[in-house]
Amino acid sequence: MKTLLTLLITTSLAVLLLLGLTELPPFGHADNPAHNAVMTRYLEEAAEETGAANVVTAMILDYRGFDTFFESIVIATSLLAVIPLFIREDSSDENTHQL
Amino acid sequence: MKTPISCEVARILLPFIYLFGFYVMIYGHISPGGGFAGGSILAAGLILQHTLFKGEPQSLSPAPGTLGRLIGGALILYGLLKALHFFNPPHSGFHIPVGVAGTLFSGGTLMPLNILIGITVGATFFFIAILFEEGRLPL
Repeated sequence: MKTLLTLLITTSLAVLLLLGLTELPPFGHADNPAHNAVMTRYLEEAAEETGAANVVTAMILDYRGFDTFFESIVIATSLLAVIPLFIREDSSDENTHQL
Repeated sequence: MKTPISCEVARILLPFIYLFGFYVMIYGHISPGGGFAGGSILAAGLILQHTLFKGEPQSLSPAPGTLGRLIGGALILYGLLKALHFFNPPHSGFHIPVGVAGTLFSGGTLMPLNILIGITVGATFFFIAILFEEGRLPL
């Protein structure tokens, strides 16, 4: 029963996501919504506005700084999630519970 | 794993690994690289030193709480530096000098942000490696 329910939920989710996939704009088409003023603005003005010669750094740390902030938080959170998986019981002394 | 050859090679190679990691981090706003890449290289060097020189004077054994404080402190500093921009949008008149693109001291807060991300990533990877290998929190 549980297996059937799981199968049903995953299949319907997959069908929903694939239906959404068919609505995506064609790859590399010139009229895609991704090709807007933002791209040219970044490439042309990044060096002047942020002072970074590397446009990728200008994007991920200046224009999209909060995205990178939460990426680093995700890394730290994944560390917290991994700790209970890998810790062994026999290594418990008084310092073990200090990060 | 631990042979005289690997120890000697590591002894020669380790300074260059650390130097390259810091170079990738510090020059992230000029050349390809940045905090994530530099931190990974740094963590590779730290893991190499930790696994090869276990129980020797060169071994790395961070004091209790060091890595956690490094990660948390770097994240908090990053948040504060970004808050500086968040509460002072460009039209408010507040402006951090960005310098000339292509020189080392340019890009405003980009270099400290890269270094902070590098510290976070390097310390996290090193932490996970010790945890994976020894099954205990790094002490």
